[in-house]
Amino acid sequence: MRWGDDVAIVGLGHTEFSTDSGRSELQLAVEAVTAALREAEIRPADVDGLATYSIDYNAEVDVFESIGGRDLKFFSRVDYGGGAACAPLQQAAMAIKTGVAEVVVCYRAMNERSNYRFGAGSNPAGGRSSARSIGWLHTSLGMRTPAAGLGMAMRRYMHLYGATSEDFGRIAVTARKHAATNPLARFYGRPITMDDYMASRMIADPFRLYDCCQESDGAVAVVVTSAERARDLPSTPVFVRAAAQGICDHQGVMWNFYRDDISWASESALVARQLYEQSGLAPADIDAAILYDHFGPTVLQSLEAYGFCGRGEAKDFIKDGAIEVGGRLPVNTNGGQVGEAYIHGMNGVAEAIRQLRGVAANQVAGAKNVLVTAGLGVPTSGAILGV
Amino acid sequence: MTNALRPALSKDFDFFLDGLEQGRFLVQRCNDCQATRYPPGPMCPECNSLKWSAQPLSGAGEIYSFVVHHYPPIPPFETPLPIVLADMAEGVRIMAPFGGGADTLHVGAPVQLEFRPDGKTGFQPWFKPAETRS
Repeated sequence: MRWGDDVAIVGLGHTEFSTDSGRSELQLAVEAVTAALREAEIRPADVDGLATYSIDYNAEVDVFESIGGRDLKFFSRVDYGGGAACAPLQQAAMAIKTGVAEVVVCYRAMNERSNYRFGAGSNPAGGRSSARSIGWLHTSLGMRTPAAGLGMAMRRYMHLYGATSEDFGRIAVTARKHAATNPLARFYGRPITMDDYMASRMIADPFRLYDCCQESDGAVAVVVTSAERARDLPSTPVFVRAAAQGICDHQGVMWNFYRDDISWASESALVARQLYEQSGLAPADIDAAILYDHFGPTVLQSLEAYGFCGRGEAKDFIKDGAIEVGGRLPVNTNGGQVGEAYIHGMNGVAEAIRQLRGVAANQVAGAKNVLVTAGLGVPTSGAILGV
Repeated sequence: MTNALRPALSKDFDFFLDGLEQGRFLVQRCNDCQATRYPPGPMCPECNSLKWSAQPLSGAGEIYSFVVHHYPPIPPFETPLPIVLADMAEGVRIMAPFGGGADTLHVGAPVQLEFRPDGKTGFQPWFKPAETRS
C-alpha cells in the first residue's frame, strides 16, 4: 500500500554523544525528548504517544512524568536491540494514520558505555525463555559476541564473493573520513588510513578493531505528527514515506546460522521490498543511505539487500568512492555508528533528518529521499524519509 | 529429567542436555515427515508435528563458515578461539569450537565432532579436522 506524505517528523533532539555522560539515562531521555518538542514548538501536554526500543531502560511512565505529560494513549516498544531503530517510526506512523495518537515521540537513551558494556562477551539474548535457551547454546559453544556472530556471516560472504579485508577497510576509512568532519562524532578530527586499518588488531577474525562500533552514551528523540498538523509548525516537515519491519526464515539475533545462505540478509531484503512499495521509490531515487553499521563490513550486505547493486557486487560498488559524500550513493554521512556514535541506530535517523533539512555536517546537495536502516542480521526495520 | 547443575533452560532443551551428558550431540527427527531439525524446538517447521525422536549425529561434517574469536576473553575458552559452523552428514548445520590448527581451517574442509569432558557432569563438543570428506 502506498503511504503518501501524511505523516511527518517535526522535531529532532539529542544529547551529546560520549563515553561517559555523567548523568542518568532518564535524564538523557528527557533532555532529548524536550529538545525535540521545543524545536517542534509542541507542548509536552500535547504528546499522546511514545515509542521506543524494548531494550531501552527508560519506562514510559517515567519519561512521561518527567516531561509533564497528561494523557498518553499510545505506548509501544519493539524488540531486538538495534534492529528496532526505525520501528518506533513505523509504530508512530501507524498510530497517527489510524488516529490512535496525534503526537508521538520516539526516543532512545542509553549509558551503554559508562553504565554497562553491551558487547562484553555475555549472552545478549535477553529474558525470554526461548531466546535465552538458544543464547545459552551458542554461548556454551564459544559464540559470545555480536562481532563473532556477524563475523561468521561475513566470512561466508568473503568465501562466496571474494571480498577481502581491504574491501572492509574501504568502509571503515570512509566512515572515519565522514566522522572526521562531523563535530558531533566521537571520532571528529580523527580519520584513519587504509594502513591504519590493516594494522588494527583482530576482534573476531575477519573483523578488526576498526570494523566495530563502540558502545556510547547519548540519546536521540524525534517528534512525529500528521502532515496536516505539521503545516502549522515551524520546521520543514520530513515525511515518513515508508517504514517497515522484517523477520525471515531461520531468523536469529546476530546469528542466522541455520538458514541456507547466511551471507544474505533476507530480513533486510524483506524490509527493502516493503519500503520501495510503500514509497513508490526505487533505489535510484535514494540520495543518501544511512546503513546500520554495528560492524562496518555489513554495509556490503545492506547495499545488496536494499537493491543498490546485485548480490556479491557490493565490494565493486564501493571501490571508486561511491559511498563517500560526492559519490553515487553517500553512505553514513555522519560517520555511521563506527565513526559518530552507537545509539542503536537512532543517531542514523537523526542524520537522515539533518540531510533532508539541508543542515548536515557533510551535506549531500539537494537530498530529497534518504534511506535509514536498522540492525543487520537481527529482526530488523527501515524507513525512507523525504522532503 | 532435571539436574541442579544444569542451566535453567526451556524444557525443549532437556533432551539436548541429556545427550551432552552422555557425550552425544542429539538433533530432532520428526516422527511424521522425517525432517531433521536443529537447534532444539517443540514443533516441526516443515509439517507442524509435535512428535519427534532424538537422533545422535555421526559427527561427520564440512566447514560452512568460521570465525576466530580474539577479544574479549571468554573463559573457560582460551583465545584466539576458532568457532566452526559445519554442515553435517545428517543435513543439519551445527556450530562448535574448533580444536585444530589454522592450516586446516577453511570453508569446505571436512571436520569430525569429538567430545571432551567439560569438567562438570557432561561433555563439551568440539570439531577436529577429519582425514577425509564425509
